[in-house]
Amino acid sequence: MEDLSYLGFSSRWAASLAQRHNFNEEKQAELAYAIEILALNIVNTALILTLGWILGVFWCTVACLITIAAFRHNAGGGHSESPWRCALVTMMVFPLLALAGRHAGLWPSTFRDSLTVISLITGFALLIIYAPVDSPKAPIVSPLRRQRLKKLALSVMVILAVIITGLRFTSWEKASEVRMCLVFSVLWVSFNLTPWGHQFWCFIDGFMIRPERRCSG
Amino acid sequence: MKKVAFRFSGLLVAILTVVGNMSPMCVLFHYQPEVPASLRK
Repeated sequence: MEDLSYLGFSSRWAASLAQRHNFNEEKQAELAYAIEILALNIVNTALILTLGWILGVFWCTVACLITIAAFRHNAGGGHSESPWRCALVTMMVFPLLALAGRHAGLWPSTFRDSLTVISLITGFALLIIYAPVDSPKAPIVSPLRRQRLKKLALSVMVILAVIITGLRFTSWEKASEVRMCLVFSVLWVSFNLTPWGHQFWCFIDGFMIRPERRCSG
Repeated sequence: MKKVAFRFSGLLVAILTVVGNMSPMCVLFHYQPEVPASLRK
């Protein structure tokens, strides 16, 4: 198999499948990668939703998850070097965003509207400046794909802006807290696009700024 | 369990191939496994 570092279970499972189907090393590496992506996302999602449910903000956490998933797949952003540190931090961040959204939903309308405008402007500006943000482990090699991802990220932002604006004028009783969840999620993903976002993840990784990572922005 | 996994391994490989091709970037969280050279685009 290519000299790529995957978790033990991904490598073992991929090796077993490759042996069964007589795949070459390249295909085995692809399987190991897919197993790792799938397993980490399922485990992280389950942990986040469980914590959100325990904290009584399940649906707000779901709203944050959907918003951030829509963004990150196209816009990219800062990453941790360790799946376990990533799981720990994201497990806390999503329910915290949901709690903040619920709390902010009770703020006076002027504050909520101001924060909404700030979030949308920040989101659009940072997407235009930075997106898509790749990483050394997953470089975007095609300029065409880079352009397509930027357009997709901006399209997602337009759709979100429409939803957020719609929630501002609807009479649904949960609209305010869901809107604030979306607003905080946009701010979080936007932050992750910036050099400060990369520095934050370097900090989480143990104060070690590695030259191959985009920490200096 | 092993028997079932063995029987459906073809389907599993197909699903994993789609996932690998669909997601050459981190989907949701903040850890990026290294993308094999053949999936980089």
